[in-house]
Amino acid sequence: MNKEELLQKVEDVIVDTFEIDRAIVKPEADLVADLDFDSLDAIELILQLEEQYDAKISAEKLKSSKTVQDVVDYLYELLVEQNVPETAEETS
Amino acid sequence: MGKTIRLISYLRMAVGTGSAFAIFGAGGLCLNILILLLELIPAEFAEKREHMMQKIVHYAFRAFYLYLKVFRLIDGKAKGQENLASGAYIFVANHPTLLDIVLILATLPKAVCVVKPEIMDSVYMRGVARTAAYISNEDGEQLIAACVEKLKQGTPVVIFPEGTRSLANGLADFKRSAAWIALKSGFPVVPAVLSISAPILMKDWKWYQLPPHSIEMLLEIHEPLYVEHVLENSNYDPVSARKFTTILQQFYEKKVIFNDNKRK
Repeated sequence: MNKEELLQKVEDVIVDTFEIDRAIVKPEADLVADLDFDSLDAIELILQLEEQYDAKISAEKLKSSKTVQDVVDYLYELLVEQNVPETAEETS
Repeated sequence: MGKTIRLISYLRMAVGTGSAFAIFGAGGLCLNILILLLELIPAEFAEKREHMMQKIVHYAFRAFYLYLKVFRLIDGKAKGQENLASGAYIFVANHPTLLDIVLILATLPKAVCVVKPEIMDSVYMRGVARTAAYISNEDGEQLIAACVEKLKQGTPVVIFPEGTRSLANGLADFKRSAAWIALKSGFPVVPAVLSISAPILMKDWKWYQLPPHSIEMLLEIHEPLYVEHVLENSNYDPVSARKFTTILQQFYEKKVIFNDNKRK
């Protein structure tokens, strides 16, 4: 999976989990300022991504992500590092 | 002549408010002596100790409001107490002034407050805040867990959904803590609307920015809101928390009017 596909997946998770308008979920969208994330939303995002990618996500690192792209960059690095299979589990 | 009377009235308010601050600070320090006595209560009765401290705060704040009323600084009133649920509840309110928490705790006989971390460290308030088991809003997850625990013990929780004092000309965006707590605990939210006849001790205001006349403050307690009654799906999830917070914010947007400080 390349970063482009991962971005698409992360955007899907955010739209589905938080029922946020897809139009505002962009790579440069600020999680707090634009998507109105709070600390519990961050945890929910971690749970959803962990479930999808069977990867152990650091809450601290994900919470320090400012934008959607930051989340994708962190997740991409993590998946490469943890050598997680490139295909995410299909949830639907 | 009119100017002189205005100046005298202002000075009366300024001296009165200044002395009220001094009394508040001195009262906080005096309560520390009581706290030393309360600390003699064995740890296994911690809950009892917390309730005793909450009761002491209730009576101390009632006395403080009596002082403010007698010296014609602030006339604080509460109405709608019949809407307070018999068990525990999440008491939410707008936060127009530093003094509203005093009126709230003078009205509620037993409650824990969600407070800023600075209060937990303040030399005047930390003794009271820690002994009464107040909860810091520093960490969202810990805050929710602690509030749910207190509610299950039967203690109402007071929370300002704006997270800080209201802005001068409008409500700040509500944080979702109250919704998360309601969704997790199942306890009702009791919304209360505070209004003041003239601005005082608002966010970023100096204590001496005062009107030259006494102020009326009203705490209006509304009927409890149950998440399961207002949401189709009241699961503990981000979507429900967002929806319930929007409902709560819309409720306050309708009830609170700024500038002329009248209510709809």
